[in-house]
Amino acid sequence: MKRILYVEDSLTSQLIVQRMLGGQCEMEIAATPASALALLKDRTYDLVIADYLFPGCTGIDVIIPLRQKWSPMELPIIAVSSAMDSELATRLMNAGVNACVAKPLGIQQFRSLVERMLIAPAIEGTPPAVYTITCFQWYERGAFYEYCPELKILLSGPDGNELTLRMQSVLNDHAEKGAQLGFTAREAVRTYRVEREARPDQVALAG
Amino acid sequence: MSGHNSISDAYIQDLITSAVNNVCSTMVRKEATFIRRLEARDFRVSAQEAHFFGCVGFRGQINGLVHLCIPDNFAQHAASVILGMKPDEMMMQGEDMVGDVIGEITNMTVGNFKNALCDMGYSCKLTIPRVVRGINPNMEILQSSRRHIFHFDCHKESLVADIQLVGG
Repeated sequence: MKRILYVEDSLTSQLIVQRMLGGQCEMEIAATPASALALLKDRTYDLVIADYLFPGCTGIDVIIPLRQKWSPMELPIIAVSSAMDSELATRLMNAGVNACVAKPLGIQQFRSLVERMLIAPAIEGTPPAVYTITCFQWYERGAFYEYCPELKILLSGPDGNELTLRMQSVLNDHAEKGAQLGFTAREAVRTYRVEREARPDQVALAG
Repeated sequence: MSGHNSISDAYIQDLITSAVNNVCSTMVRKEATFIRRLEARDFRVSAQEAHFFGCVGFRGQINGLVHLCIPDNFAQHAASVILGMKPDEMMMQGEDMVGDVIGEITNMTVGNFKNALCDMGYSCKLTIPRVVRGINPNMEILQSSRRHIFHFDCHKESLVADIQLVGG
């Protein structure tokens, strides 16, 4: 039976993952990165699953020493965290994990990821490159307009801030669908506001 | 010229609704529905039933604190579903175990919310969750914060998310 080490301080998460993977493998739990490293001195595992946030330390404290000893193909590591934003995922991938998963863990997806890692370890997902898409916003004839030259999208609406959030959401949708956003793999929108005539608040002040 | 945009009330509502729904549907296997926004003066916890208050903060380019207020009955039910225990088995586990589950639910919900803020360009980090149980416990209030309170229904069980934001 395959052996998994789960590094996790939350009792609830320990029980959830034990329920998810129980029967599929033999699982040991370490509540801190330090206790995980102590276990790894004496025993071998087929997979390490590591949470990120611990009181006073992080999962990287266990990932880096493991990568100095084993490659991602010899000992796969899955990082899990409630705080898994794209910046953290990039940092963890650079530290050498095979895959990053945001909590809450969906049962089917997580089981299937663990199975894949146990059968044929691979690095899933490359760190997202961060580029900037420049959009232009202007106010004209009582409405705000925002234009993305890369995608040739023009949006309009009564609220400039809301419009930028909508543009960001449209770009997110395109990125998630795998669209080639020009030179862009992952978007970070920067909006330039171009004042072409007085805004409504300025008109009100003048009046 | 700036990469940051102020976060509108409607957007905060979208983010927290998505976070609550994601956690409820994945963990408790029940959809959560947004009911209404509450003013701070209208937000009163029933004195008839104890509640669990899970609290997680975030610090960075935007600071904030989110409390999830979950009535005892719903907390017990959620904990039994999440841990795969029968309700009477769950009762035997005691308050600390339910509190641990509520802490994790809060951590995941606030994590989802925070991750969306980070992806908007507001880099920030989560704090460690805290949980208290009581009839009307004192909630930490951040100075100069904007407060947004949202009431959700999860299959006739009530859940309130109280968000305080500083900056943004």
